Amino acid sequence: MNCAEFQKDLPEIIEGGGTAEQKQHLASCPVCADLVQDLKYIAEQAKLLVPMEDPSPRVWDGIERSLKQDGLWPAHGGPVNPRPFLVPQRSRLAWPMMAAVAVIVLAVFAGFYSRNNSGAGYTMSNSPIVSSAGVLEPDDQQLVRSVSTRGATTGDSYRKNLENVNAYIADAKKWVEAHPDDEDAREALLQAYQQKQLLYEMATQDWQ
Amino acid sequence: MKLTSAKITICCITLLSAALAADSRKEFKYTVANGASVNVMNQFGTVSLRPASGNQVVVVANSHSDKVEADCTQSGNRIDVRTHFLQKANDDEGKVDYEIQVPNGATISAQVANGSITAENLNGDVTLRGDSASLEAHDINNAHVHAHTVSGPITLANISGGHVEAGTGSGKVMLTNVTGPSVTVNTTSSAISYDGDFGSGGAYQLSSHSGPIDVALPASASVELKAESVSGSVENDFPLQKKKHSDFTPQTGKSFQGYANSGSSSVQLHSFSGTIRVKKR
Repeated sequence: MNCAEFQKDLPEIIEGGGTAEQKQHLASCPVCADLVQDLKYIAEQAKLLVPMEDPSPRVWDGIERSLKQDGLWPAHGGPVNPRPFLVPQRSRLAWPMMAAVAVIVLAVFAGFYSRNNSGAGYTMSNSPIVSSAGVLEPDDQQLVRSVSTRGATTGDSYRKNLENVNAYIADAKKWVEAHPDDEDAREALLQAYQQKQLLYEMATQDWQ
Repeated sequence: MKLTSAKITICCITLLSAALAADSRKEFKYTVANGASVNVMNQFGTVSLRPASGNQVVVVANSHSDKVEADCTQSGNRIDVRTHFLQKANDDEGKVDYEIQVPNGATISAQVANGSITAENLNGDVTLRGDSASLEAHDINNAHVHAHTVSGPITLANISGGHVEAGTGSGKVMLTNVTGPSVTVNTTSSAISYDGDFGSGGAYQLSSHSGPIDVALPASASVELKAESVSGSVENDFPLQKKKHSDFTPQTGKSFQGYANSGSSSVQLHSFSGTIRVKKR
């Protein structure tokens, strides 16, 4: 089994541990081992977004079921098909839905990471899930490099938009931290993540 | 001197002739049943979507060079239109302009990286996406409209009866007479403007991180309106009545809340650092 085959089934491996062959590859490949470790770390950090209202396992199960119903969860290692703006506005389920979008965003990032790093020595840093204002995370920088092949102007546009959306996420997160019961704050964080999701989707669009 | 001018003229004519020769027009026609879907993917160029009179999807494609071609296929009730690159091409050489007519009720999804998409007089669900492309949709009724860009402007006008979602990183969003049960606009750094009466019921949410939000509405608008800018400011010259029971405490210059007439539509305006202005039209 090579890295590309292994990384194709990442969600199942992270969720269930993987098959014997996948475990063997994981034990022998430092690149994939780092990747799995990083993604597990990110998933753990995502759960801490609003620690005082950590949802019960039933909520997570419900999210997974919804994602599967909507075709957003790769049942057999297939591609994730994220869809923006899937949340009805002003819903009482704003927090679970925000978590769902965070999961989708992570899946998009993971897909992009996997596509651009199969077999390469690139490793994701143990960076926090919420970006600092105006700062590009390593995966953002990778995205900008990738999209810059379409032209310098396009690269600059994505760089600026990513910096702005990271600032958006950082501000929204601060607001949620300061007002954890404020539905508007959660909504803002959800929207900020959706904006970043949109950027990743557009950047990784296959136009050919 | 005269010789130089003549040479330039000849060169121009030659170049123009070559450019015209490179342009190629193709037309495709497909018969579809009710509930058809049309998907368009075009990296460079324009896409114009208009209603067809019958049950045919008609695609007219103009390629700007022989390095690209329009590739149209029918799979059952689905039509896929895609620009196919035959060889490496720059933005101009890779341009294809599409004029597409779609039957009543057909669902449309169109994506353009650089260029524009225009959708008009349609009554099926419309999903438009662009990178720096400008998106424009107008006169669409009883259908959902989704429009998203990275940096291109989004213009929506005379849309009613469906869910409307618009999102962009840095492109301006302009809404004129857009109403529906749910209207959501979200931008990161760009401006949002809304001109209309917010219909007679529905949830409207306009939000940005750092872009300004401008709303102009008539005195007859029936709205319950809440506006808040975290570190920016709010301005209001629309007469609003205070709600009797509210857990929201407005801050002067930062937020306000109230209703007008029967308050049938809920309007939420939110920005982190942008200015929010509400005025009577």
